[in-house]
Amino acid sequence: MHRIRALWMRLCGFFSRREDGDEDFTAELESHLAMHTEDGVRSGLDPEVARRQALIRLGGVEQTRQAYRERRGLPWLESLVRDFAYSVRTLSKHRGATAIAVFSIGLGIGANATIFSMVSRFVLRPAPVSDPSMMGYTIVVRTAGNPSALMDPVRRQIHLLDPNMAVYNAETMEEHVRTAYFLPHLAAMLFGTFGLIGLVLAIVGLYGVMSYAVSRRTREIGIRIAMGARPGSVEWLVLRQGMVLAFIAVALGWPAAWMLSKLTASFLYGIQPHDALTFAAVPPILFMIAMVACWIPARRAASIDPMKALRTE
Amino acid sequence: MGEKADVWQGTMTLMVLKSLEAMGPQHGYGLARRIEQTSGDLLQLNYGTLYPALLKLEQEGYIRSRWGTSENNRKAKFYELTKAGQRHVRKAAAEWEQTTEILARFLAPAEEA
Repeated sequence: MHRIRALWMRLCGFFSRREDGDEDFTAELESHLAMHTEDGVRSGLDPEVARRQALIRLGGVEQTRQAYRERRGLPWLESLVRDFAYSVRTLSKHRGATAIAVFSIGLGIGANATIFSMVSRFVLRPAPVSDPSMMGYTIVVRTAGNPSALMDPVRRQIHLLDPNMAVYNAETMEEHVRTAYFLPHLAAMLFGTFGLIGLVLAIVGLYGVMSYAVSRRTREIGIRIAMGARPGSVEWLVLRQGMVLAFIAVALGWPAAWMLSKLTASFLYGIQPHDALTFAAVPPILFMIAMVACWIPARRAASIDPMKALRTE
Repeated sequence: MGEKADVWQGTMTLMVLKSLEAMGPQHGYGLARRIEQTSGDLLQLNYGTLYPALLKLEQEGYIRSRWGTSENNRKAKFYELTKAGQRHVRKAAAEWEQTTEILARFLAPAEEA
């Protein structure tokens, strides 16, 4: 209860104006130092010495202020927001590359959604047929002899039972199986292939864009490393950018895939247009794939030799 | 090992709350002095660490603060216990008493053995 309240207050602190809280605490610190100094003077110290001692006992004004500031807001959230704002700024400077990357990932989402609904339709779940009588009745006749010779006797027998019953679509079992599965198989194969190609394109596209971005920034990254940036933080720099891209793409691609799946469903019998599993699973999976595609260029960025980087161009 | 002990976070909270319970509304400096005095000057308190701790307690709703005037006519921020704070002191104190009592049994030389 009280933890939640504290978290909420810190969230408020995060959104409130920083200067207000700073001013208040500066005044509080000043009053603390003044009282401490006063006590020191009263015990016979020189005012300057007393103030210095008060400062020492406090442990430094700046350190205290920093610790207080960190407690007031949510430092990790602040730095996260700052990092991502930086990524967004960098990306908005390279609109073309960003658009390509977003499009690639968006494509990937669509592709993934299609593949997934296919899998869930043909592998995970049997065909949903709610009322078979809607499609008429099928009589299956088994014979040891020639099937075509059996056609007329069966037809006559049905007419005897109900003269109004129309008999159509007489075929052998082999024919039946082939025609029954032909369309779904073809469609599944087509959609599946397109989906897979789309996914590969998406990964390659994202990988290409990130590699390009890293090579463009070789100099900058070289300077960062020369200034003491750790490999981990350089990797994180590139990964973050990829994450922002993936976020944007998911935000755009997910609704698009949603609409697209309606279209798929109209082509393929038995595919639910908005398969919950598909739509829950696709964004995280794609996000992971995107991260891997970014991770390789990120690793490369982290291993840039600053001396070589500074000499390029 | 120094002869003065450092204060660790969990116990500082209780010390602050207990001092506020005993003294009523008090400012940060007064609290710091009080804690040192109560400890018989055994504790070496870094005064700066007191303020984030106070802020934490305020965020949790155990204390509240307002600006007032000190005994020496100086502007100072005063802290006082809230209702929830009073309840919390009682609970936390009981818990600590139990903990120290249990530990004391281990530290004391065995009598029956």
